[in-house]
Amino acid sequence: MSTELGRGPGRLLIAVYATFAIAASSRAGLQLATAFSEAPVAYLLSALAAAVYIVATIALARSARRLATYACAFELVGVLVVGTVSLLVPSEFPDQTVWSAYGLGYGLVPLVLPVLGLLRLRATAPGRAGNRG
Amino acid sequence: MIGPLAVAIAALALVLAVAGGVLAARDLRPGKPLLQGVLLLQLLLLVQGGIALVKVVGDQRPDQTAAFVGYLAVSVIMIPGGLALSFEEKSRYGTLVLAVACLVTAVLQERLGTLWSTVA
Repeated sequence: MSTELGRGPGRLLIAVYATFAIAASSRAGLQLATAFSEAPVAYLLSALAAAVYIVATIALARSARRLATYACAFELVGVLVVGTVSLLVPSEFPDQTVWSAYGLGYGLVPLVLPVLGLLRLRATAPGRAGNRG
Repeated sequence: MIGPLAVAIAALALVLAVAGGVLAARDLRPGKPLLQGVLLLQLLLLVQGGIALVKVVGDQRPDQTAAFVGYLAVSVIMIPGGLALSFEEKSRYGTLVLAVACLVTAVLQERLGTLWSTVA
Protein backbone atom coordinates (compact mmCIF):
# COMPACT_ATOMS: atom_id res chain seq x y z
CA MET A 1 0.00 0.00 0.00
CA SER A 2 1.51 3.29 -1.03
CA THR A 3 -0.25 5.14 1.80
CA GLU A 4 1.67 3.08 4.36
CA LEU A 5 4.88 4.97 3.71
CA GLY A 6 4.09 7.86 6.02
CA ARG A 7 2.38 5.86 8.75
CA GLY A 8 3.91 4.40 11.90
CA PRO A 9 7.71 4.60 11.85
CA GLY A 10 7.43 6.44 8.53
CA ARG A 11 5.80 9.34 10.35
CA LEU A 12 8.86 9.70 12.58
CA LEU A 13 11.10 9.47 9.52
CA ILE A 14 9.23 12.31 7.83
CA ALA A 15 9.45 14.41 11.00
CA VAL A 16 13.22 13.99 11.18
CA TYR A 17 13.58 14.64 7.43
CA ALA A 18 11.52 17.81 7.75
CA THR A 19 13.74 18.95 10.63
CA PHE A 20 16.84 18.43 8.51
CA ALA A 21 15.24 20.16 5.54
CA ILE A 22 14.70 23.21 7.74
CA ALA A 23 18.11 23.01 9.42
CA ALA A 24 20.05 22.51 6.20
CA SER A 25 18.24 25.19 4.20
CA SER A 26 18.55 27.75 7.01
CA ARG A 27 22.25 27.06 7.29
CA ALA A 28 22.79 27.10 3.53
CA GLY A 29 20.76 30.28 3.05
CA LEU A 30 22.71 32.03 5.75
CA GLN A 31 26.09 30.85 4.47
CA LEU A 32 25.37 31.76 0.86
CA ALA A 33 23.96 35.15 1.79
CA THR A 34 26.62 36.25 4.23
CA ALA A 35 29.91 34.51 3.49
CA PHE A 36 29.81 32.80 0.09
CA SER A 37 33.41 33.67 -0.85
CA GLU A 38 34.87 32.17 2.34
CA ALA A 39 34.10 28.57 1.46
CA PRO A 40 32.19 28.33 -1.83
CA VAL A 41 32.53 24.54 -2.12
CA ALA A 42 31.24 23.86 1.38
CA TYR A 43 28.39 26.34 1.04
CA LEU A 44 27.23 25.06 -2.34
CA LEU A 45 27.25 21.55 -0.91
CA SER A 46 25.18 22.79 2.01
CA ALA A 47 22.66 24.15 -0.49
CA LEU A 48 22.65 20.87 -2.41
CA ALA A 49 22.11 18.90 0.82
CA ALA A 50 19.27 21.22 1.75
CA ALA A 51 17.60 20.68 -1.64
CA VAL A 52 17.91 16.90 -1.30
CA TYR A 53 16.36 16.95 2.19
CA ILE A 54 13.46 19.03 0.94
CA VAL A 55 12.84 16.67 -2.00
CA ALA A 56 13.12 13.60 0.24
CA THR A 57 10.72 15.04 2.82
CA ILE A 58 8.08 15.86 0.23
CA ALA A 59 8.53 12.56 -1.62
CA LEU A 60 8.16 10.54 1.60
CA ALA A 61 5.17 12.57 2.74
CA ARG A 62 3.39 12.11 -0.60
CA SER A 63 4.47 8.50 -0.98
CA ALA A 64 6.28 9.25 -4.22
CA ARG A 65 8.33 6.06 -3.93
CA ARG A 66 10.62 6.39 -6.90
CA LEU A 67 11.53 10.00 -6.14
CA ALA A 68 12.00 9.15 -2.45
CA THR A 69 14.31 6.27 -3.38
CA TYR A 70 16.40 8.50 -5.65
CA ALA A 71 16.58 11.22 -3.00
CA CYS A 72 17.61 8.83 -0.21
CA ALA A 73 20.18 7.10 -2.44
CA PHE A 74 21.63 10.44 -3.57
CA GLU A 75 21.74 11.54 0.03
CA LEU A 76 23.60 8.40 1.12
CA VAL A 77 26.17 8.82 -1.66
CA GLY A 78 26.44 12.52 -0.81
CA VAL A 79 27.10 12.02 2.88
CA LEU A 80 29.65 9.27 2.15
CA VAL A 81 31.52 11.23 -0.54
CA VAL A 82 31.40 14.62 1.21
CA GLY A 83 32.18 12.99 4.55
CA THR A 84 35.25 11.30 3.12
CA VAL A 85 36.47 14.34 1.15
CA SER A 86 35.97 16.63 4.15
CA LEU A 87 38.32 14.42 6.14
CA LEU A 88 40.89 14.06 3.34
CA VAL A 89 40.91 17.68 2.11
CA PRO A 90 39.87 19.74 5.15
CA SER A 91 41.20 22.93 3.47
CA GLU A 92 38.21 22.94 1.10
CA PHE A 93 35.89 22.82 4.12
CA PRO A 94 36.88 25.67 6.44
CA ASP A 95 33.25 25.81 7.57
CA GLN A 96 30.90 22.95 8.37
CA THR A 97 28.33 21.49 6.01
CA VAL A 98 25.60 19.13 7.13
CA TRP A 99 27.55 16.28 5.56
CA SER A 100 31.05 17.14 6.85
CA ALA A 101 32.71 14.21 8.67
CA TYR A 102 29.64 12.09 7.85
CA GLY A 103 27.38 14.50 9.71
CA LEU A 104 29.24 14.23 13.01
CA GLY A 105 28.13 17.76 13.92
CA TYR A 106 24.54 16.52 13.75
CA GLY A 107 25.11 13.37 15.78
CA LEU A 108 25.71 11.28 12.63
CA VAL A 109 21.98 11.47 11.93
CA PRO A 110 22.70 12.53 8.28
CA LEU A 111 24.46 9.19 7.80
CA VAL A 112 21.76 7.06 9.42
CA LEU A 113 18.78 8.88 7.92
CA PRO A 114 19.12 7.80 4.25
CA VAL A 115 19.72 4.21 5.35
CA LEU A 116 16.54 4.25 7.42
CA GLY A 117 14.72 5.89 4.53
CA LEU A 118 15.78 3.19 2.07
CA LEU A 119 14.92 0.44 4.58
CA ARG A 120 11.50 1.97 5.10
CA LEU A 121 10.91 2.17 1.34
CA ARG A 122 11.92 -1.46 1.03
CA ALA A 123 9.79 -2.65 3.96
CA THR A 124 6.68 -0.98 2.55
CA ALA A 125 7.29 -1.82 -1.11
CA PRO A 126 4.12 -3.12 -2.80
CA GLY A 127 4.38 -6.86 -3.52
CA ARG A 128 7.89 -6.89 -2.13
CA ALA A 129 8.43 -10.65 -2.40
CA GLY A 130 10.32 -11.27 -5.64
CA ASN A 131 9.56 -7.78 -6.94
CA ARG A 132 12.75 -6.44 -8.43
CA GLY A 133 11.22 -3.98 -10.87
CA MET B 1 18.45 37.50 30.17
CA ILE B 2 18.10 34.95 27.40
CA GLY B 3 20.68 32.67 29.02
CA PRO B 4 18.77 31.52 32.15
CA LEU B 5 15.47 31.28 30.26
CA ALA B 6 17.13 29.17 27.55
CA VAL B 7 18.54 26.84 30.22
CA ALA B 8 15.12 26.49 31.85
CA ILE B 9 13.47 25.81 28.49
CA ALA B 10 16.14 23.26 27.57
CA ALA B 11 15.67 21.47 30.91
CA LEU B 12 11.89 21.31 30.49
CA ALA B 13 12.27 20.17 26.88
CA LEU B 14 14.64 17.37 27.91
CA VAL B 15 12.28 16.18 30.66
CA LEU B 16 9.40 16.15 28.14
CA ALA B 17 11.54 14.34 25.56
CA VAL B 18 12.41 11.62 28.08
CA ALA B 19 8.78 11.36 29.23
CA GLY B 20 7.68 11.06 25.60
CA GLY B 21 10.30 8.42 24.96
CA VAL B 22 9.13 6.39 27.96
CA LEU B 23 5.49 6.64 26.85
CA ALA B 24 6.45 5.58 23.32
CA ALA B 25 8.42 2.62 24.67
CA ARG B 26 5.28 1.54 26.52
CA ASP B 27 3.29 1.91 23.31
CA LEU B 28 1.24 4.79 24.74
CA ARG B 29 -0.13 7.99 23.24
CA PRO B 30 0.90 11.31 24.81
CA GLY B 31 -1.34 11.81 27.86
CA LYS B 32 -2.74 15.02 29.26
CA PRO B 33 0.28 15.76 31.54
CA LEU B 34 2.69 15.51 28.62
CA LEU B 35 0.54 17.66 26.36
CA GLN B 36 0.20 20.28 29.10
CA GLY B 37 3.95 20.22 29.54
CA VAL B 38 4.43 20.69 25.81
CA LEU B 39 1.96 23.57 25.86
CA LEU B 40 3.90 25.22 28.70
CA LEU B 41 7.10 24.67 26.73
CA GLN B 42 5.64 26.39 23.67
CA LEU B 43 4.44 29.28 25.85
CA LEU B 44 7.97 29.76 27.23
CA LEU B 45 9.40 29.55 23.70
CA LEU B 46 7.04 32.30 22.54
CA VAL B 47 7.93 34.48 25.53
CA GLN B 48 11.62 33.95 24.85
CA GLY B 49 11.13 34.66 21.15
CA GLY B 50 9.35 37.92 22.00
CA ILE B 51 11.96 39.06 24.51
CA ALA B 52 14.87 38.17 22.23
CA LEU B 53 13.30 39.87 19.23
CA VAL B 54 12.70 43.07 21.18
CA LYS B 55 16.33 43.04 22.33
CA VAL B 56 17.69 42.36 18.85
CA VAL B 57 15.56 45.11 17.33
CA GLY B 58 16.87 47.31 20.13
CA ASP B 59 20.63 47.57 20.49
CA GLN B 60 21.55 44.20 21.99
CA ARG B 61 22.85 41.95 19.24
CA PRO B 62 24.87 38.75 19.33
CA ASP B 63 27.81 38.45 16.89
CA GLN B 64 25.92 36.23 14.49
CA THR B 65 22.61 38.05 14.56
CA ALA B 66 21.18 36.39 11.44
CA ALA B 67 21.98 32.90 12.72
CA PHE B 68 20.49 33.78 16.10
CA VAL B 69 17.23 35.01 14.56
CA GLY B 70 17.16 31.89 12.37
CA TYR B 71 17.47 29.57 15.36
CA LEU B 72 14.90 31.66 17.19
CA ALA B 73 12.39 31.29 14.34
CA VAL B 74 12.93 27.53 14.12
CA SER B 75 12.65 27.19 17.91
CA VAL B 76 9.16 28.67 17.80
CA ILE B 77 7.82 26.44 15.00
CA MET B 78 9.37 23.17 16.20
CA ILE B 79 6.67 22.19 18.71
CA PRO B 80 3.66 23.16 16.56
CA GLY B 81 5.22 21.20 13.70
CA GLY B 82 5.79 18.18 15.93
CA LEU B 83 2.23 18.34 17.25
CA ALA B 84 0.81 18.57 13.73
CA LEU B 85 2.81 15.54 12.56
CA SER B 86 2.08 13.47 15.68
CA PHE B 87 -1.63 14.30 15.87
CA GLU B 88 -2.90 11.89 13.21
CA GLU B 89 -0.44 9.15 14.05
CA LYS B 90 -2.14 6.97 16.64
CA SER B 91 0.73 4.54 17.11
CA ARG B 92 3.72 4.93 19.45
CA TYR B 93 5.52 6.73 16.65
CA GLY B 94 3.21 9.70 17.07
CA THR B 95 4.44 9.99 20.65
CA LEU B 96 8.02 9.58 19.46
CA VAL B 97 7.61 12.44 16.95
CA LEU B 98 6.64 14.73 19.82
CA ALA B 99 9.60 13.49 21.89
CA VAL B 100 11.99 14.22 19.02
CA ALA B 101 10.53 17.72 18.60
CA CYS B 102 11.22 18.33 22.32
CA LEU B 103 14.76 16.98 21.95
CA VAL B 104 15.47 19.25 18.99
CA THR B 105 14.02 22.15 20.99
CA ALA B 106 16.57 21.46 23.74
CA VAL B 107 19.43 21.38 21.23
CA LEU B 108 18.24 24.68 19.74
CA GLN B 109 18.35 26.26 23.21
CA GLU B 110 21.98 25.25 23.55
CA ARG B 111 22.74 26.98 20.22
CA LEU B 112 20.69 30.05 21.15
CA GLY B 113 22.37 30.32 24.55
CA THR B 114 25.84 30.05 22.99
CA LEU B 115 25.09 32.68 20.34
CA TRP B 116 23.50 35.04 22.86
CA SER B 117 26.55 34.79 25.15
CA THR B 118 28.46 37.00 22.67
CA VAL B 119 26.19 39.96 23.46
CA ALA B 120 28.33 42.63 25.07
